[in-house]
Amino acid sequence: MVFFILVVVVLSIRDIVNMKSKGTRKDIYVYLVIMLLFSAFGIYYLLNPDCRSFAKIMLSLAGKDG
Amino acid sequence: MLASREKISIRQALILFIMFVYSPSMRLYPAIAAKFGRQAGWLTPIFIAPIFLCLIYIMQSLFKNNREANLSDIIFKVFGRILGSVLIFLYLLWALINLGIYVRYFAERFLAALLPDTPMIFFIITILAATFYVLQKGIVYISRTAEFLFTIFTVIFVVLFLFIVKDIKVINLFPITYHDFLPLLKSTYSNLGLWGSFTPIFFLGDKINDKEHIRRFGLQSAIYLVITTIMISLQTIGVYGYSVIERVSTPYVFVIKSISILQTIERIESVAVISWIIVDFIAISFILYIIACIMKSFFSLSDEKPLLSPIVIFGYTFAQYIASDRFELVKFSETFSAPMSIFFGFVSPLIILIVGKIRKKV
Repeated sequence: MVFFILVVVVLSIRDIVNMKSKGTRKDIYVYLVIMLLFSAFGIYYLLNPDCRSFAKIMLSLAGKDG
Repeated sequence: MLASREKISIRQALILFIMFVYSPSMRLYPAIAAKFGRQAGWLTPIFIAPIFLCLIYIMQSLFKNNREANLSDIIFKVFGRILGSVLIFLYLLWALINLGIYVRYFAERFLAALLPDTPMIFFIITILAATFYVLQKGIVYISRTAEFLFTIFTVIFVVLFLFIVKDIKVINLFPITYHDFLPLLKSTYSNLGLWGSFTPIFFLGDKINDKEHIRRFGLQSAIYLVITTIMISLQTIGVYGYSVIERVSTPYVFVIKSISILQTIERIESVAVISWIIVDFIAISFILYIIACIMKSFFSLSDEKPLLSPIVIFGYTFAQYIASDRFELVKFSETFSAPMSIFFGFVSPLIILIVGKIRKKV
């Protein structure tokens, strides 16, 4: 978990510094929203690694989980 | 000569496509062809080819008057901003799910075939780190790498095929009668989606030069795919018969493991592993870049490269979350991948073309 957050922070800083040098403010906002969303999903999964898998949810919705 | 150093040729794009199709072709195609097509399953690519040719013509028509555009631009042009955004968002979801499937299968293949005691996360991190590093340089570098690795892959593939030829039994491939027509259609439906990956390459459209040659290179790639897919069928169904192959989780690996040269040199699957790594590396790089390009168009951004980091983070998590075990992953692929890929790969471009023609936008 700590390693995961560390990687996210390091990558974010690197990308934002690169984007700032190009002066694209909108890109930075969109980037931050996407990164936060995907990181939150990652943290959720790492906290609950035994949760129902995506395949299981989809197969049960399709009535083919038996 | 290319107009820009930042662009790739349509030939390079189609090499990326071929390598993208190889990965699922090796892991899924033989079992599905054997299950539905039985002994005639090896003829499936011949049935897929005409439908694929239609797709090539559709793409050629879409880009005839939009040579500098990508598929997102054409979707926006044809459907307008709101409906276009909905369709592009659906493509994005499909591509993200495919990323999870490809990364997870990469790990599962190593776990099943070579290193069963290694933690799965090791393979996931390794492949994502390698692709992320290479993609920092852009699609041009990955395309040139793919062009070079494509030759190596083809040589390994043909050499392995030659080692297996002597074990192919004609009785496993014949007789074929008119009774096999319906099973072949079922097999075609289940495998058609694999070739539907032709469509997403055009999300890189603005980075592809000489799109007037889509038809020419598309036909060449179709011939190449038909031949190699038939070779995969002959190596699997032809050697062990459909009844065995449909029950094996990784038929191609199973066959490669059985190769014996002069009854002295065995276990040469390590050679095949090189080709799997090459194919999966290119496939995962390709899909990562496509996702970044779709996101760039969807959010109207100026550059796609910074988006690679969040996509890799997502790929790392989703590859683990997508399925709890291999059987669930295979069931998910069989149930959802085929219809989704047929829709996004074949049906959707046809709809775009029809609507575009009616509205005189393409």
